[in-house]
Amino acid sequence: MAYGDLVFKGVLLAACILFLSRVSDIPPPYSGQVGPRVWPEIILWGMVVLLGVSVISQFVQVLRRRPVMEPEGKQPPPEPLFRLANVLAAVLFGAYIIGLDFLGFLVATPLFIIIFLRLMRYRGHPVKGLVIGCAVTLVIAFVFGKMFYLPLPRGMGVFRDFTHLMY
Amino acid sequence: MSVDHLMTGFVTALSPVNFLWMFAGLLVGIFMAAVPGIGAELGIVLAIPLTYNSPPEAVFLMMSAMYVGGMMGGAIASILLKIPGHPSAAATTLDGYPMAQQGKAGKALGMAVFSSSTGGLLSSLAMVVVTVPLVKVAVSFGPAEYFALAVLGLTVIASVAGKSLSKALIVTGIGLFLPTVGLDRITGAERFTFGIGPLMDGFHFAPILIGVFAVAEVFNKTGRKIEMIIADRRARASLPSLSEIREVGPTIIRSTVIGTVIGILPAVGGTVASFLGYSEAVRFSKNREKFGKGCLEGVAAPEAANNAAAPGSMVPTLALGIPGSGVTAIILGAFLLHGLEPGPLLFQKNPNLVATIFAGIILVNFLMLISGCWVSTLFSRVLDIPYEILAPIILVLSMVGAYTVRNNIMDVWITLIFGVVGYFMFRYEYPVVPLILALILGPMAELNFRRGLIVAHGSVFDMLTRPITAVLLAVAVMALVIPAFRSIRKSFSGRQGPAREFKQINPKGE
Repeated sequence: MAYGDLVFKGVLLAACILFLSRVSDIPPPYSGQVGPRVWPEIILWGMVVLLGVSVISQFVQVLRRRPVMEPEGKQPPPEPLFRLANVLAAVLFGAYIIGLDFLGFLVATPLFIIIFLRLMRYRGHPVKGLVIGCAVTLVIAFVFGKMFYLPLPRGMGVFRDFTHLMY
Repeated sequence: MSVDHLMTGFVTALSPVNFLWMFAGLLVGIFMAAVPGIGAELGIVLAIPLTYNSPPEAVFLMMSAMYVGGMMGGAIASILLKIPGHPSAAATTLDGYPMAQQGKAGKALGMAVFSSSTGGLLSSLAMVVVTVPLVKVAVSFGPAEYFALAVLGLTVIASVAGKSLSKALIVTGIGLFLPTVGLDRITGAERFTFGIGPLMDGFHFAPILIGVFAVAEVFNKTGRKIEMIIADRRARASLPSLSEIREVGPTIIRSTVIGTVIGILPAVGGTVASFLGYSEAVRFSKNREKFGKGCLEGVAAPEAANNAAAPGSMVPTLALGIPGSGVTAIILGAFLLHGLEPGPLLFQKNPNLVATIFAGIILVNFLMLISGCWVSTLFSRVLDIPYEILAPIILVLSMVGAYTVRNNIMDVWITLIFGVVGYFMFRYEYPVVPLILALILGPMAELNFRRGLIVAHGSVFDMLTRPITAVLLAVAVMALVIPAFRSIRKSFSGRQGPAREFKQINPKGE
C-alpha cells in the first residue's frame, strides 16, 4: 500500500512541476494588479513543497521498514490494489461513453446495464436483466428527456433518428 | 428578511408544484439514505441534473427535503441491517438494531421518525432566528473579509481530514488548482488549457463531484461480495405513544440543542452530533444499563441530534456562503449552478427564495412527521434490492448528470477520470470532502483575494490587517495549526510507544 501511495504522490508531484513550468505561459499582470498567474502559482508551489516533503519522508520510511515476521497463518493476506472487476468496470464505463457518441442513449444504455449486471455477478435470469436494462433506460429517457427537457446523447445516423421518437 | 417574507415563503413552498418537488425530495432522500452504499450525499449529487431547467425555489426545496429526509432515512438501514445508511446514523445502530432483533423494529423506526422530525423542526426554527442577525453582520464584508471567510471555510478540512492532515491538504491543493484551468474570470487570460478547446471553459465542478462520489463508489464495490441480513422483514413503523413521548421528551430536546449548535459549527456535522446526543442521553438517564440493549431513548437521542444538525449546518451556508459539510457544499454548488451566490447578498437580492428555503425546511419536517412512518415502512423494503442492480443504475445516472451540465461528452470523460482518481483516493485513504470544499471555495477565494488587493492598492499587509479579516484569518490559522500540532504529538508518542514496549520486553535490545 505504501509503495502505491508513493507512486500516487509522485505522479501528483510530477504533474504539479509540469504545470508550474507552464505558469510563464499565462500573460503577466497589468501594472498595480495581481495577475491571473499569482493564485495558481501559490497553489502549485504549496503543492510541490507539501508533496516533496511527503514523498521524501515516505520514501525514507519505506527504506527503513524491516519485514515483520508474523507467525504463519496469522497474517491477513494483503488486499490487492485493484481487482480485474474494478478495471473492467472502468473500461466498460469508458466503452459506454464511446457507445453513447455512436449509438445514442437509448441503445447504449440497455446494453451497458446488461453487461454491467453480468460483471456484478447478477444471478437473476438474463431476461430479467434485459427487462431491467430497458425499463431503466425508458424511465430515465422519459424523466430527463420528456419531463425536464434535458438533452441526452442521441448518437449518429439511424440511432439519432430513433431517439427523436422518445425525446 | 421580515415575517412577511417568511409568510410569502410558506405560500410559495405550499404551491402545488413546489409541494410536489418537496415531497419528491423527501421520498428520494429517505430512499437514497435507506440503501447502504448510496446515502444522502450521493442522492443529492445524482439529483443535480434534474435541477438545471427548474425554478430555483423548486430546486432548493427539493434539495433541502432530500437533506432532511436523508438524515432520517439512514436510520432505516441502521435499525434493520445494523449498517448505517450514512455515518451520522451509526449511533442509531447501538439501540435500533437490538430493538429490531427483539421484534420491535416498527417501534424503533417510529421513534426515529418522531425524534428526527421534532429535532429537525425545532432546529429549523432556531436556524431562522440565528441566520438573520448573522447576515446583518456579514453585509458589511468586503473582498478581504470574503477571502478570509473562504480561507476559514477551507480550514474545515482539518476536521474532516481523517487519519492524515497532509493527505487532506494535498487533496485541498488539487481542489484549489482545478478551477484555475480555463479562462481567467477577471482578465480572460488562458490558463493551463494547452490549446485544447473544451478546456477553455474549465472544469465544471459537477462532473468532478459525480466522479469522486458516485462513480468511485461503484468502482470500489465492484468485485466485492455485499451481503445484507435484514433483522425484521415485516417491520411496520408506528409513532410512539404519549407516555413514550413524555419519557423521551427531555432526551429529544437535549439532543436538539446539541445538534443545532454542532450543526452551526463548520465541519463538525451530524455524526459528532448524534454520538454526542447519545452519550449525553446515557449520562442523564436513570436507566443507563438499558442503553445498548434496545431502548427507545437510544434511538431518539442520535436521531434528534443528527436531524437538528441539518438545519444548523444551513446557517453558515446561507448566511456566509461557507459550506460546513459535504452535503452543504453540494447544495452550495447547486446555488452557483443557478447563478446565485449564497451569503448576505442573497438575502438582499432574493429574500423570497431564502424565505422559501426556510419555510420549506420547516414544512418538510412536518411532512416527515405525518408521512414518515408510512414512507419508512415502504422503504424498509428497498433493502431487498441487491447492489448488483443499483450499481449500473448509479453509473447511468452519473453519466446523465455529467452530460447534461453542458451537453458535452467531455464532461462524462472527466467524470470517469475522477471516478478512477476517487477510487485510488479511497484506497489510499485520501478524504473526498476537502476536494469538494476546495472546488467550491477556491474560485471565491481567488476572486476576492485579487479584488481585495486591488482595493488595498496592492498591499497584502493592508488587506489582511483589516480587523474582521485579521480575526477570521487568526481563527483559520488556529483551526489548522491545533489539529496539526495534535497529529504531530500523536505521531511522536506513537513512535516512542513501541520502542518503550520493546525495551521492556527485551532490555538488551536484541
